[in-house]
Amino acid sequence: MSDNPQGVFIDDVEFPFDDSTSILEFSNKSLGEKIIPTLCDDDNLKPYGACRVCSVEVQHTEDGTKRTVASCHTPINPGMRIYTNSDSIKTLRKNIVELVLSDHPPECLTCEVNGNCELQDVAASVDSIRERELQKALSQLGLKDKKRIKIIEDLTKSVADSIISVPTQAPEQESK
Amino acid sequence: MLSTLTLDFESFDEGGFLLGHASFVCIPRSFSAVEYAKHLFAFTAHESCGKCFPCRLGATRGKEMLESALEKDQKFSEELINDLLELMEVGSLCALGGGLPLAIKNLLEHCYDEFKPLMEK
Repeated sequence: MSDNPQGVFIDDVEFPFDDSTSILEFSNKSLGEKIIPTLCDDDNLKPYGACRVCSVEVQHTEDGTKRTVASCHTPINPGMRIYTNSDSIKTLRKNIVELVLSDHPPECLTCEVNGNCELQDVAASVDSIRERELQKALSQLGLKDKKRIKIIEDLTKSVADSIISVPTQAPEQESK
Repeated sequence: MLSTLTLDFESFDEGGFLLGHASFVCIPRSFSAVEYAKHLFAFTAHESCGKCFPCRLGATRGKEMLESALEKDQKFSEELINDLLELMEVGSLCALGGGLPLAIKNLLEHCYDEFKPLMEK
């Protein structure tokens, strides 16, 4: 590594600095798409930093402290050292995906986007997802976060079965 | 530890505390530490803006885990709650979700006896 780097290091490999605005954009241009997985990144939207699956470790100098940041909305600078696949990042990604799955309907195989699903792709790209107690217990208990759901649409139901069902119990937070 | 704690950032940092608002919280000795941890998760879940996944989902899951343990006698995994706290601390977008784990970690460390019967390895 040069003493006064003008490039950017991704996993210890130097790449020339360009006009990219974010770490994710730079990584996608330099290494190809999907090196850093994402869930909320979309070309039609501004970087939002919501899912945190695109988190990477960043060092601003060779001896600097490593900080974990979301790559989609963190500006890229010359001399940055970016670590996309360290142990802590792999663990973080796996835990985020497990957390997302804990709030996701379990009927993956009968879902209409099965096989063409961003979440499935990301879940497959992280280390083996364990069937966590979190997901199992909460889905069994029906304790998933349904407070924000006002209308549940089920197109497999006939009109007689009531296409739209409305939760009968008032949301806890809104009852106050 | 408290007897050697001095009112400065370094001392608090060494002791695993944070000097700032709500650094000291006084609760009655008879009040359950697990109930208090549940309250902290519930508070964060309620206050969360919902933008980032670790805070929105993590605080809700944490609240549900402790709620199930207290009300439904359903034990929760020690590894799971530690993973959840680490995830929220490192992954949250702002200090609401990122700050909660320190308080819960301190409760787990200093009031472990109260959590132990509710956890499984």
